[in-house]
Amino acid sequence: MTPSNHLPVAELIAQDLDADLEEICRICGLDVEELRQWILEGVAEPRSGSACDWQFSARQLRRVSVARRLRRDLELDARALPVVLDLIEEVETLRRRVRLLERVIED
Amino acid sequence: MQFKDYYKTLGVESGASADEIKRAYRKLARKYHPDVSKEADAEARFKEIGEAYEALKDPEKRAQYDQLRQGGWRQGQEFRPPPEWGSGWQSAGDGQSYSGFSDFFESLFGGLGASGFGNGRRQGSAGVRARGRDVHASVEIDLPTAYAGGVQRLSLGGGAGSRTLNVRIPAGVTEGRQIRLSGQGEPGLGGGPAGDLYMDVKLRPHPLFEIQGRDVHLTLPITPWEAALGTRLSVPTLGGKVEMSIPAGTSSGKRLRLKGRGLPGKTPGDQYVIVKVVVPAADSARARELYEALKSEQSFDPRAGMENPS
Repeated sequence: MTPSNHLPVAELIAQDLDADLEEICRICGLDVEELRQWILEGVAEPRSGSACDWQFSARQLRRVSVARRLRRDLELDARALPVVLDLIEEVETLRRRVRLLERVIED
Repeated sequence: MQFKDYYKTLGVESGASADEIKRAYRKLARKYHPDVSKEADAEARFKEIGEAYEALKDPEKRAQYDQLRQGGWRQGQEFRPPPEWGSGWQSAGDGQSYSGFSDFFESLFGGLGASGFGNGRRQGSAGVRARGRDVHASVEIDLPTAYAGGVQRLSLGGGAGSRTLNVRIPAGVTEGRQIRLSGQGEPGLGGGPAGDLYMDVKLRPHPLFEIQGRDVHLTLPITPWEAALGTRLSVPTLGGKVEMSIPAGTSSGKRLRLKGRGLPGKTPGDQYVIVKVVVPAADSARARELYEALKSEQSFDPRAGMENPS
């Protein structure tokens, strides 16, 4: 028996996670009312349906957890969160592209 | 442990007002917030800033800290708390801290708890059984591990709450995904189950490969004659070397695709090979002769399109 048999196993949260409102709140440490408000503001987009059966993808889960950190650490206004999240995603994409292009042109 | 000069960390005078401290914190927090910052040491810096602010924003903590600092301590100096320090305060509990603050902070304020920042410690009350809190962290995973899966040693938290854990990572992890480690969050209360540990994945930069989603990009240097005549060569991929052909007349910057050679997944990514023609110096008589021959015998003008731009 190898010792690695006892290692904790990391579970990849599926892209099509389908967590519901309460699960997202539990994972992110938010209360349901606050997340409901955030969804109205556009922080996260549930897949579909009425408020009672909202489902969230892994990407939306990530948006909510980043939003929670930004709100906690930088005291951002909830209404500013969606645009900040959109810009963060765009900047990440652009930084990766720049890194890639720099590799091609640099000597 | 080392003494920490919290005023220096925030870049303010020791007589700074509460507003000045808040302003300094906000400015630095914006600069080093790990979700926003591109600084390499953002996470560590942000923790230091958060810790300094946690100590200085609260008048009670600040007064205690000031009293200590008046003893003449300097940043980084070896520090032992005075024996009478903290007597009569509540102990730090089970000795496991998830606030991520340093030993220094914990030794000064451990009994006071950290409010609002990270996961403050819950005061245990008798007879309550509750599930431990979920803990969030980010983790850097090596690209070969993300591709093939494997065991990786993870460092969690910082300061007094830090620990390391060997973890089995599944294949196909990509940047920005989350992974969950069941039962590795905060311990439960009164025999309740432990919380889970959620980690945002970052891929550690690799010397050869650049990653976008599941696609892998590789810059491949080739010679001018390989580019002009075409060739077959073997290129590195995450799954090992692969033979590929470079068509004749391939210029620098041309992108060739190796289908399905990217990170694995429901739809596996592709590997893109970006060709870069590297020109050797004409540093011998023979090399000069060959270049001169090309020059006199070829009528190729790469700048032809620049004459009449419209």
